[in-house]
Amino acid sequence: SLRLHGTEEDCSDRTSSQCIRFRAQFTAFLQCFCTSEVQILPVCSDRIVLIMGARSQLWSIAKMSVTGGVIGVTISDRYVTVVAIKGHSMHPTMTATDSALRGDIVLAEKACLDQYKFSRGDVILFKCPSNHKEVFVKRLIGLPGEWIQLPASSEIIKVPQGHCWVEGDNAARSWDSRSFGPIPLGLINGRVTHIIWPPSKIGRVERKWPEDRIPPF
Amino acid sequence: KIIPIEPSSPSAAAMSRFVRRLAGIPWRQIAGEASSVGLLMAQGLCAVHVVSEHVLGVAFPRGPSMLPALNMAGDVLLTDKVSPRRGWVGPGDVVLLLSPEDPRKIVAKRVLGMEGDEVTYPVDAGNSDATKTVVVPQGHIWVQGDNIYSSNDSRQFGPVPYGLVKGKMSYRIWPPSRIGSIDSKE
Repeated sequence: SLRLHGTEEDCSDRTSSQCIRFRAQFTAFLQCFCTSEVQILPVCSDRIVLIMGARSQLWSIAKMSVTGGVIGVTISDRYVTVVAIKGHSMHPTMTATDSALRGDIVLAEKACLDQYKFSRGDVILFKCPSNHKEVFVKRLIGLPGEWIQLPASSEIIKVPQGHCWVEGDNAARSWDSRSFGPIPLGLINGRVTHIIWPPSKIGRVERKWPEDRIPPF
Repeated sequence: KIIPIEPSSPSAAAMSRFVRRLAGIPWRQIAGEASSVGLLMAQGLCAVHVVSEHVLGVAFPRGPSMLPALNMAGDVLLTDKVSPRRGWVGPGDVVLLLSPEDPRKIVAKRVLGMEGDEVTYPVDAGNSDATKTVVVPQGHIWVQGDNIYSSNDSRQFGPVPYGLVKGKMSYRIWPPSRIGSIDSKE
């Protein structure tokens, strides 16, 4: 623990009004920066030290971490979140490796969930329709109400209201709407805007339309 | 030693008095207090968000689709946000979910079947007695309003993915005459 002793000009008279006022002002100044109570002892010394009990130190650390956690969860829910990519369905835009540390890490924004307004070619995060605990990342190909052509066959499909059609960039290794059909927009968790790891791939994730694909109408 | 400059005119004198009064206001203290109050308010709002999104929220359901369990308007319900995330939702529960037809709408319906269950439902309630039986696909649930004559539910939009469920309504706190838990009936 640390200790604060005030340095006062007139140490002989500790009750002098000047000493008292100096101590009060200095205590108020330090209190702005300290989470636990500041106490200045009226002792003559040439060093300044702060009083903090060991228990109140642990309590202040706990309070700061809870506050930080609450603010972090709020920001991650409403504004922007960080996600590590697992899976190869978006290669080469985003790649994953077996180790979570070396896979791509992306930034996803949540402001789009306010009005659910997306554009064709956005990369989105969404909950898997057959397992709500898994989150997928794919590109948005069809918006609600559009007619799209399936790449393999010449089928034309209409995307129902409130749903969207998603496909991965790496068509060979992507389990997407071609298997589970259009997904409700309510499953969407966010829109990927930037890649922030590895450093060689840092940059925006562009809204891109796959080549050789007929645009919907 | 600082030699004060004498003001040369009455307006200059008023100006220098004004500047001196401005300098006397404890700006740093006010800024410190304002930022600490602002930070406290931000922390409070974040705490409210975390609790109402992840622990316990409040819902004000409106509409006739869940009569007689829920009134058409004026009910206030406690929504449990922990249960859906942990998978503690089963048949008979009244849940809040994002509508598969418009994700900006939140609807309240009763769960009739979980994945793998067989659900038999009236196709055209009120006009005929015909029923149909479906098996709920993996990861989906079948939801129906208690008031089958006036409810837009899985009979129209099919089974919905479990990920759309946002909360389980367990307890009514208003109106006072009906305070208590929501019946969970099959």
